[in-house]
Amino acid sequence: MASIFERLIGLETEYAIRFRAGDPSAPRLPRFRIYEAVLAALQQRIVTVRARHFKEGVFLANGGAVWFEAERPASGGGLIEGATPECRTPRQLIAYQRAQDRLLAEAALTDKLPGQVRLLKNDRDAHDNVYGAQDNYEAALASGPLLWLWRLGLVALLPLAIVTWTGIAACLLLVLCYFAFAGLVYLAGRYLVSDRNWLATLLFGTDLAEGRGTCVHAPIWLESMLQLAARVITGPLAVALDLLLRGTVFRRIRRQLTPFLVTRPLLAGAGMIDRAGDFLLSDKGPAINCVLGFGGFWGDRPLYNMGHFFKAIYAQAWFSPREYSRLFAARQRLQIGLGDSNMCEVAEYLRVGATLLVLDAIEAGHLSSIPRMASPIRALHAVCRDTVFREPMASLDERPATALQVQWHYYQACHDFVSGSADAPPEAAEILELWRAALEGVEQFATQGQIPATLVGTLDWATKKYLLDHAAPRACWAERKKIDLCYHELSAEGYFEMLRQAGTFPAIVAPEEVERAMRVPPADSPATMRGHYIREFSTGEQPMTASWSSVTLGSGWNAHVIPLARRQRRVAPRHGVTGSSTSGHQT
Amino acid sequence: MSPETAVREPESCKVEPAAGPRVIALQDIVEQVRHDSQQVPNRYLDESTVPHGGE
Repeated sequence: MASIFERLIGLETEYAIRFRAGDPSAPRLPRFRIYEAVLAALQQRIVTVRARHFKEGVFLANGGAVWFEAERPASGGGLIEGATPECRTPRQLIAYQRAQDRLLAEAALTDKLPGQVRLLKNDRDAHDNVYGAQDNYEAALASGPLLWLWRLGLVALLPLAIVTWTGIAACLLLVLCYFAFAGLVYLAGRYLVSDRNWLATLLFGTDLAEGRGTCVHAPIWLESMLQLAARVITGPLAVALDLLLRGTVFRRIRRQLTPFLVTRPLLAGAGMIDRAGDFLLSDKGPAINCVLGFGGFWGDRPLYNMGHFFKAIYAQAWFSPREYSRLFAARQRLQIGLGDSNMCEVAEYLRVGATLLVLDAIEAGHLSSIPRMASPIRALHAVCRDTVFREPMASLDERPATALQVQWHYYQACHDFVSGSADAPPEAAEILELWRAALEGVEQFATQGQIPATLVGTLDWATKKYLLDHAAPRACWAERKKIDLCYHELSAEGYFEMLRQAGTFPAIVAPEEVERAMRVPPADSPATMRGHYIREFSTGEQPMTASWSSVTLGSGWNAHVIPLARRQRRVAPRHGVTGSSTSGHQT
Repeated sequence: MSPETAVREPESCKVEPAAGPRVIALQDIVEQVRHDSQQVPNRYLDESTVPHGGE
């Protein structure tokens, strides 16, 4: 029997930080310092524990997590990243996403900084720096011989992984030697150089008086060298793993899901104004440059991000062999890199819900006819630019098909799949109804050339285009770009928040559901027990840390690691945000 | 009643359908957005820059 909405799902969102200094002449405040102030304010609202993770961050009592994300910390940049707890249904996930948005937006109102902080839930700044959101779905990695090939490949990679870990350890040793040497140089040089701050910045990347608050662990030149060294050391492992991944994992899903994802900006695109002033359906879509990759290792920005496999091997497995053994599992995380950050609840619900239905239909073997695309990436870029929805970008049953026709094809297949499933939850029908209405709205726009009222507040690209067309049709680029960005600001002055406050848009989750999700983890998920432990033990005498797979009480030799079960006893109805019953949990 | 004898409503009596609360709210917000987007837009773009981006 086909399963619908049985897998674990989660969303990751990177929030841009907008900071307006009280004193305009003050130097730019490092983003890490802002993150620390926001985190301190967040900890006034919800209990947290330190994350055992390669990024600086915490896990929350509702099971989610917050990190500081920085590609180049020495430059002073960075973002605040939120990750929802692992959920089971799209509706539950939207409640936790809204809870995360609210917790962080309220924390950003902190008065502990010399200026005003606001968060933007978007994907691209005015200078085309890209970040944004990713969707995560538990999915069948492979089956039969391919699964065994993947496992054999992992065993064969082990010697290369050991060489890589040795190289990384040697590199870290050299860095320690450098800092010991730099310390001696500083102690001697401070009597010879008049400007000690200059010397400290040259040697350590920061004024020593600023200390940890800048999150700078090395000067920019050393950071660049270390990044290059890391690529050289991990390069052979990356190449070998890349080949193994391409040949074995998620092959069937990738083949059948890709045309849906390529055309998904029709439903879930956030819309944007590009450098030429043109309106595009998606802000992240045009930056996607390959189907599969590690997300930044080669300068790649993939549709399917396999970076977590790579990180698990080179960054986590060398101090936790269990992380390596997890890679042998038959079901693992499928991460989709193409995910615009949505402000409209319906768009976010459709982004996750429609993708889940397609995945469920694929795994049930229900999808027979798949649209074909000569180049998915070229097709994706064409979809993002085609705001009249008439350009053929795929072939369907040997005939050219537009993005809209591809979406209708998947809708119909999922409709048939759900209709034929005796145990389909009512939420599946609700998603199909919203999907149909959205496609009809897009079709109406394609024929009439005007945004239908039904799409305003429902789909982000349509809502943003409506604002641009009505508020600033002939304004200069900077004004239109401000509308593009301020649409995503999570504050009362944010343009979408103004629309939300007007209360005339359809909402998916009730305020009570969001309130609850701000405090309590979802049921039937590893987050259930994680949240329980955080609430019960975070203030105890023993230090506590958490990760996605376990919690650790105590430290050193006395540390007690408690694995988190993937599936908890079902204690709640299938719909709505369901709190966890802490009794009866497996420990 | 033939078209010739039909009573024609005087132009002055024609009433436009009243805009619903949703339309009025949208118009209000469009006006606010128009005004706010004109306030130092370049400063806003600069304040929200994310050097080097993210994942």
